[in-house]
Amino acid sequence: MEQVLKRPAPPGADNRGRLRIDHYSTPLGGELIGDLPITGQAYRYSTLFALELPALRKGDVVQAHAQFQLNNPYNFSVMLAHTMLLHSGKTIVRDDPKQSRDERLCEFAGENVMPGMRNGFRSLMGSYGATEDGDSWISVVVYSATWWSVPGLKMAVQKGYGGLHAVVYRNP
Amino acid sequence: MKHLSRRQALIGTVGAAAGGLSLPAPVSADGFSELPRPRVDHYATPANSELIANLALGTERRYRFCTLYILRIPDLRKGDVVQAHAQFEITNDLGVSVSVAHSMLVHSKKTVVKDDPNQSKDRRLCEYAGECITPEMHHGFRTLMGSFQAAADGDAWVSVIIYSVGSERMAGRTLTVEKNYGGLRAIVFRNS
Repeated sequence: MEQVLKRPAPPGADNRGRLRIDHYSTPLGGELIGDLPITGQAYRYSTLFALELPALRKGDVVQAHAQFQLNNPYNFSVMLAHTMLLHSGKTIVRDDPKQSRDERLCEFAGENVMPGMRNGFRSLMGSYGATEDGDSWISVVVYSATWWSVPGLKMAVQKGYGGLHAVVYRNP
Repeated sequence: MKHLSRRQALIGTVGAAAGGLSLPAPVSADGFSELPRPRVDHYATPANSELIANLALGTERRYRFCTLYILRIPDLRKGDVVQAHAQFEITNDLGVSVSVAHSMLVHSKKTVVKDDPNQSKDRRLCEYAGECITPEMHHGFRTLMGSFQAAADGDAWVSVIIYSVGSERMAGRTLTVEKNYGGLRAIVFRNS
């Protein structure tokens, strides 16, 4: 009983103990950065999207998906890589040299954007089962690299070309 | 003491009293069924669960199918819905373009293959398809999405199958399967 009282009910939640499904989205133009540094092999991680998922309960299931597009303006190939992470608090990084140890909804991975491609478009899909009660944050982290390190190289983040969305299945 | 399955625990005393069979759920005064409730569960392969470290090139005449991930979905009931998704990354260091293709399958028992020339006849959650990884791409990143409705009660196994095709002279050369760059996850919508 105490556990039930501790949890703020989501808006409109009924009290019949039935499965409830909620949806959360970043707003249009929710990209947190306008460009992404291209490094050498010492990667630098930046948060592209962050989204709060309120009042989860242990056993709830979250299905998240994201889309984004970055532009390679150079005449050489550039690696564009990414991950989707789960955090217990709002977590935003910019040019962070350390790889997060937070839980992964999908793993760190990527591929090159070649000059002929010009744009790199990605769809990411992640999911997890909540292991404890409370608010959670999910984020999309991106990073870029090439074979050599030249300061000042950047990929352009296309604003309004993507977002991060989550469907939350709240079990009774 | 009779073993109480997780399914019986989920559907509570009604299923247990009826031996898990077809006793109709009671209806409460407000008209909503009290039991059983729909329920959503989540399953995932653990980190580093890629079953192979490299992928040998097949040829147009002889494919070599390999299981990359396998995931058990326990205790399904007919009518339950499973939505699965997977991610992986393959690296091509061969200096020529090679195709990397894949499928997601559902099996009635644990099914793992390695360099199998025969295409599985098991049900497909997503079809056999793929594209080339060029030397300039270097890495091939893939996201797969599949779903199915359980046709029978019992456990099911979902797998991701990958294979690669090059020229005859490249047969046997290998691509690198990047370790811990992906996984296989499933959301199960238990209807009954």
